[in-house]
Amino acid sequence: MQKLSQSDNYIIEMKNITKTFPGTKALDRACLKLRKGEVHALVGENGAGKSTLMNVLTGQYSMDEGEIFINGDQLRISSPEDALKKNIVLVPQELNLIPEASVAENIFLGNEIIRSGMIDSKATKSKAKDILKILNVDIDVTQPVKKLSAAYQQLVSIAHALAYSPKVLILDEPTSVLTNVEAENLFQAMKLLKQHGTAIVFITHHLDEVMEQADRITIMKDGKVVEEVLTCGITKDEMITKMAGKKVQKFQRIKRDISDEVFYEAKHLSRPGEFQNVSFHVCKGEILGVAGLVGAGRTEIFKCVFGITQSEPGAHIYIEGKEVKINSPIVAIAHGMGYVSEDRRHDGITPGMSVMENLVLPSYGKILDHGLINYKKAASLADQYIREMSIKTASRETMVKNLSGGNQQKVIVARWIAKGVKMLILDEPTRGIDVNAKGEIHNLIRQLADQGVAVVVISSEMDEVLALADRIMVIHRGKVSGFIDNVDLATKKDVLKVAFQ
Amino acid sequence: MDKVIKFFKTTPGMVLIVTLLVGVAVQIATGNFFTAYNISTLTRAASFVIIVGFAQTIVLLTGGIDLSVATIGSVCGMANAIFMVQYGMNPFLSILVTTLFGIPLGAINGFFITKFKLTPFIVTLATMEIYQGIVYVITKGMPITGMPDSAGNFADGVIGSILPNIVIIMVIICIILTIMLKKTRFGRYIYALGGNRNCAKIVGIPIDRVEILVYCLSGLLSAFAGVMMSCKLESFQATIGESWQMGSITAAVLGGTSMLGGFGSVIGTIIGGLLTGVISTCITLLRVSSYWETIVTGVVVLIAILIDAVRDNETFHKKFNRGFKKNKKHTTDR
Repeated sequence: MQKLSQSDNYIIEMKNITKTFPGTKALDRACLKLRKGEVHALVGENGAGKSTLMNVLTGQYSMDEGEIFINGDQLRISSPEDALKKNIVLVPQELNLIPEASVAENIFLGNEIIRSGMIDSKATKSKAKDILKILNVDIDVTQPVKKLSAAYQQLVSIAHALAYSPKVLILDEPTSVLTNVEAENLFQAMKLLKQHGTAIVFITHHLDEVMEQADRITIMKDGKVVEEVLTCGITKDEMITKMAGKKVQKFQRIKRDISDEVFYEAKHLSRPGEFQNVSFHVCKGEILGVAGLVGAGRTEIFKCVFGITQSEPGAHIYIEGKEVKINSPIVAIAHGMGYVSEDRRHDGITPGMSVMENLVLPSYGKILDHGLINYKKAASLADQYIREMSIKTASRETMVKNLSGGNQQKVIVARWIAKGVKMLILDEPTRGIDVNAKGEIHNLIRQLADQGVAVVVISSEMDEVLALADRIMVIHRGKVSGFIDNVDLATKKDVLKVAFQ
Repeated sequence: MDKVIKFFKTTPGMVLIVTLLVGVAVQIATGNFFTAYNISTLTRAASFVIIVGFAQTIVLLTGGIDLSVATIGSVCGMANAIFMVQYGMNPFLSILVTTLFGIPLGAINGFFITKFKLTPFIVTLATMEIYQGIVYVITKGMPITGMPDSAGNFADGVIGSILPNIVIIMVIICIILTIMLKKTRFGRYIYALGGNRNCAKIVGIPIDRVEILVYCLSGLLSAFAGVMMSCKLESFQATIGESWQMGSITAAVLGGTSMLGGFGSVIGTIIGGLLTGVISTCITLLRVSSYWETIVTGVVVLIAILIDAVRDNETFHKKFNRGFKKNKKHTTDR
């Protein structure tokens, strides 16, 4: 057995890994083989077990059964330190940086350059710069990480991994917050690492990236490995079919009739340093797509719309024709608005609470009996939405943190539908979510709009905006650079043209 | 039955087992732990710190902390003594008025924490000192004595020589708070606030109002404990409730309340408070020098949270259970 693996020259071999969590079998005899100097894509739907498998490899989770070989030698990895000692480094999907510490300090966190017992800050800075250069990033390494955009924070996170001079580098959804240019730089860096013999595991939902970047692909489904193939031996459609187990439709545009009754209108919204003079309206039953590059100010505009932040004086807000002042989410909700933020973990879910409680959190007013919560009503409300939105959960009492990302997102959307909103703002509703769940959320958004809800969808995925929106608002550098009314005929190019005009 | 087993797997469940085991051990050693007199004395003494523990629990649930609980109790206990002794106020009116006086004292904490976004630890540390200072300035460190017997009888009374009044009151407060925490919007908002403050804000929870009310409630409960303590002693000394500040945190945490917020219950706090009460009683019963009390309490707290941590930690769990699991495997193989 061992000889075989040596002759195959695998740097890592994971055999029959099984891992059970309460209620679910996250990994079921999963295998993964990594060669030196290859980019190995790991694809599958949310909850297929990709992250779990990588967490086992990096010692975050201990496996129930199975074996791991490194260069043919069997090995126990029982803690992240063990993995780091073997130069196996993971860049997690969710950022793990210390916001107050500088870029350079973050890059060498846990891996400090020590000279005579003290941290050598000079070497730290210069080496941090060198590492960032590999990623083609030129920023001031002394500034605190919290000042960077999400995209740059992601790059710092990758630089942190590179500081361990990894033999095996695992990138979990590295491009989800990156713009095209930054992603391209990352791919260049991956090629460079490959030449130095690093094995790269690349987890992503962007199958185009897989086709372009990966040498080999391992497809997972329900904790099992479905197939391991060379990239040249499979097409994108075949891959999707294998991931889903059934044929999935591509994003499809559906033409809808929209009323011309305006629900919400904003005039001259401004916040210095974020956006200037933003005016737009949303009709009842309309899906307004908001496109633009990451960092253009899209999120900031709609945080202001929802009252999380306040506009400069001079702005006017109208709801159903009446001028209103929205200075807190409480007021926004009272006017019938709901908001799904781009960062599920930070402000979307309350992880330690049950699915049911997360679902009814804004709707307690509806289920009170003489001032006391009627849990029967809460349960039936929760069960109704778990069923209607096919939320995959062991029960309504399951803690929401035990759900996969896509299902957490459904809970957050369900929360507002249960509340009965008239306008719903969704910021990156399908980020980091698999193709099938994406389709489900898209259908949900359309259903909502069909019921007369004004919907705003902010998305970096141009395909998504083009498929969903009835009208597109394009934001560039904090300003509305234009609207696209006739989305049917629009292409990605048109959107970019509007952005840069 | 399932629910009972589930309960004993939680932190307060484990602590309850430890508490009972300690009691049984001392019963075997001395033969006089489970006597009516001992139980009533023990629960009566523990009730005060448990009531303050309720206050602390509710604040901890929001992710905050209230270090001023003991000195709020002290200020209000002092006011109670002054009203009764110097102004001859009706004892029950005085108890009511001075207990309510805890609300503004708590509101001051809440005001600074919410309006200026200050850290609860620092704000309540400062008000703790201020309230303590007020007591010393007014009393000049001298005790106030001569409170009416009716006050003492009320606070220290025992029904049927086993059920102290204060225990009944403590249980009633626990029931009211449990209903509030489990079944009212305000109660769920407290958990939501501690579970994820950002999420709470986005779903439209009035977080400032909830937080101020929580500190008011904490002030109210602490004041009540202080007032009842001064009644029980029929006098006031500046040292009343000195141990409540840390004692309340100990009771809450042993009762399974998370210092990070979002998890816990007031019933757990009763169990946590009882454990510390049992320890101090046992030290008396075993005729150990009372100087040992805090050491033993500290060690027991450490052991209790260690058991809890081991239970939650997968790696530890595996290490502890490896031998056991191997045996189990053999039996299933057969």
